[in-house]
Amino acid sequence: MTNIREEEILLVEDNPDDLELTLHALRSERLKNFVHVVRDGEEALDFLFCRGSYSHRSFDRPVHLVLLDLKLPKVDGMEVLRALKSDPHTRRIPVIILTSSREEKDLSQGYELGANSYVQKPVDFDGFRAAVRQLGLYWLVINVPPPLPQGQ
Amino acid sequence: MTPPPVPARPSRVQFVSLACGAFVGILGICVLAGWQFDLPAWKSVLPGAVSMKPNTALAFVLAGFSLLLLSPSPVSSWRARAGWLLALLAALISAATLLEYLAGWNLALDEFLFRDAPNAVATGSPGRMALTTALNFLLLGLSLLLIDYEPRKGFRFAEALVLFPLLLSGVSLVEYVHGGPILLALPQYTRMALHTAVAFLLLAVGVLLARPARGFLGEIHGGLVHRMERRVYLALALSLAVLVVIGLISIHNANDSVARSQEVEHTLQVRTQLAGLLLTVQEMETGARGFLLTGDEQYLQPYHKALDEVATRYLSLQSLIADNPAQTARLRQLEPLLRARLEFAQRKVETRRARGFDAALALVAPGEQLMKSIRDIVDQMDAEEARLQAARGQEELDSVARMNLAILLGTGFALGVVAFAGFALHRDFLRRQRAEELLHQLNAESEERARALETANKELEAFTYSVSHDLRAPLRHVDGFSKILEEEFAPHLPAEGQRMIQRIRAGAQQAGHLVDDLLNLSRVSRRELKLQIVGLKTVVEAVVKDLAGELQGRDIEWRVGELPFLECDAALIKQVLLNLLSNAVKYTRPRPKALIEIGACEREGQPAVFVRDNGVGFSMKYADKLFGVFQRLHRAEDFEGTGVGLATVQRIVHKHGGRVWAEAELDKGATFSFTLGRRT
Repeated sequence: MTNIREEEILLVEDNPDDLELTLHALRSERLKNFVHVVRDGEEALDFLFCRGSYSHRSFDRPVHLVLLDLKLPKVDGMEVLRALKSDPHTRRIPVIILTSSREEKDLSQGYELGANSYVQKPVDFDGFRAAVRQLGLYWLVINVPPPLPQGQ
Repeated sequence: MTPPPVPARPSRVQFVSLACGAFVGILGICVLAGWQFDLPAWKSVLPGAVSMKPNTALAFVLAGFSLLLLSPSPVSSWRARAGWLLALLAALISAATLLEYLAGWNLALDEFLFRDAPNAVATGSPGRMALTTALNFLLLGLSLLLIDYEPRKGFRFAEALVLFPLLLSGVSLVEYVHGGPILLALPQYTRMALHTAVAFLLLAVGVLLARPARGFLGEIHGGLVHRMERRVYLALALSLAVLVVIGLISIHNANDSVARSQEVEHTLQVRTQLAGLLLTVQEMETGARGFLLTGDEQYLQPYHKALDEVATRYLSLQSLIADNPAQTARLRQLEPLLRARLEFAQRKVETRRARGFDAALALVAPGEQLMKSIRDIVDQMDAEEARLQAARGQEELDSVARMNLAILLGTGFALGVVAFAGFALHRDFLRRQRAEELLHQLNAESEERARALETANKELEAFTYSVSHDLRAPLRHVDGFSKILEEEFAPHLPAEGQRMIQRIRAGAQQAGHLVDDLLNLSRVSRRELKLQIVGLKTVVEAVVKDLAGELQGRDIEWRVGELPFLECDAALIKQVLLNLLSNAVKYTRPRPKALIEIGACEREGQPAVFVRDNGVGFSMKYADKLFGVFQRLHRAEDFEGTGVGLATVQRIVHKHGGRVWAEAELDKGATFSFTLGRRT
């Protein structure tokens, strides 16, 4: 995992309890240091599009993975997903929906909008930790990411 | 030619048909008896009217009983054959009579049974039935033979055949009611008797009503024709009948008027002749007198001419008033007077010639007396003719007035009927409009209800969504933090504390399962069925594979029999089998060797699938609670579970229109079976 830099993973999560548990799980998989946390949809969009308080960021250093909750204040997860997938700068970033909901409506809308993966957070913490481990392993190690867009 | 099966529906209408047949048959027998025992009232009904001929009566007996045999539908084969035979005989009798009429033959049929009266009323050929009667019998006989023949729906041949007899007998009856012939009075032919007309009417109606559920009647009765249309048809038929009656009355009255004006013409002729006679006598007198005075033979020319004319006019008058006995008597009185007057004139002329003027003049007095008598009688006759003329003129006026009244009343009636039909149509239109409005209203209401339902559904969805999202989150937190506590602070916790943490985690996880299962149940309820043909064997194999995690360390013998292909929702049926099989796996856990059997059988004509196990079973006492939500028959520490699985199974099966049930015995195992209400 030597090629993983800081801010490789964007975690979008509003619930502090969920946040802590997720970070705990990430920490135990030694992924925590690469995670940047945003607490609502607006902040997520600012971060991803390098604007607002994240205007110092650059598209040259895109995140490798977005872990997206659906129920978010201000701009909800589906809107974030839609914006992300309809912009050429951010379209290629893999998005994993990480949510409590397993409603068919959310599932189909998520995939419709281009989510790469949909994971329901299990109630069982062991299961959750296993899921996070597998996700990190798959998306950050096994999966070969797309090359940087030309001219960037 | 076997009669097609018609649904038997003995009705009042058919009873009327039977009654018609019976009446006609019995009438025929009565008339035959009338011929046998020479009872004029039975032969002719009205005194002096035309009689029903013996062959007519015989044909009525045949046709009446034929109708009696053929009317009840469906007809058994022996009754049909007998009925057809009778109808055929009646048709043959009429056909032979028609042949007699048309070809002018005498087949010696007419007086075969009985001799007709030598001077029978309104009878063309003694004993022969009327031409119209023969025609009617031919058509009615055919209609009985073809009583069930319906070349296309809504058109029964017999119905068309009886229309003509219906019309003919109807017109005959109108003639009888009216008192005189109108249309059918051909003097050389026999007239239809009164009871013959009635019997034809009944026979035709009987044939019509014998099959009320078929043909045009069937259409009207119960078929496509709306109740409203029936009324309109009735109104039309009634108006038509009224118009026909008006037409007949008009024809009759026109004939009547012509006859009356001919009579008036006749009286005018009589009066002209009378006046002429008087004038001629006077001319003769004048001529004679001229000769008397002058002795000039020239004056005798008009005298001689008048003499000839008197005779001509007398004869002409005689023939003109031959139909009037009173006038004829007066004319007879006139004859000797005229003769005397002529003789007197002749005597005077001869006296003048032979003995000169004075002698002739002496003869004057008796001549004047005679002339006065002649003038009196001629005046009387003229007065009588004038009276007749006035009376006949009045009759003509009356006849026209009657005709006008008939046309007025008839037209008024027809108009009334049409107006009533129009009113009924209008009312029906309004009623339909109201019904439509009501329908609209109901539609609007049901739409509203549908909207309300949709709203409720959406609310429910929102509710389950938030349950799914918000209720699971805290449970997850409880479990997650307990786990972290357990892992990271275990050294600081006593064993009892660690056990408590285990209990907390178990509780949170159980609540999580509960939420998941409930969500699943509600999802199943809301889901629309996506039907396809599903091979259940494949599904069972897939489910067994999915259960692999639960099968570790277990010794289970699976017996999967032949399973049907069913039309169902593949995902839902998999859920059903998953729930049933995992139950079977769960409740056989205490068995060292579990046996789980899946097979198919037939229940109430539908394929049923069963899952049988040799597990702990349950008491059938609680069988009715088995499929309720949260209903459990085992303690949680013995068998884990949320009590939602079987409720989900039942909901899915019911959604498919099927049935699910269980048979079990405590400690012996359980069998769960279901059908899906569909077959492939």
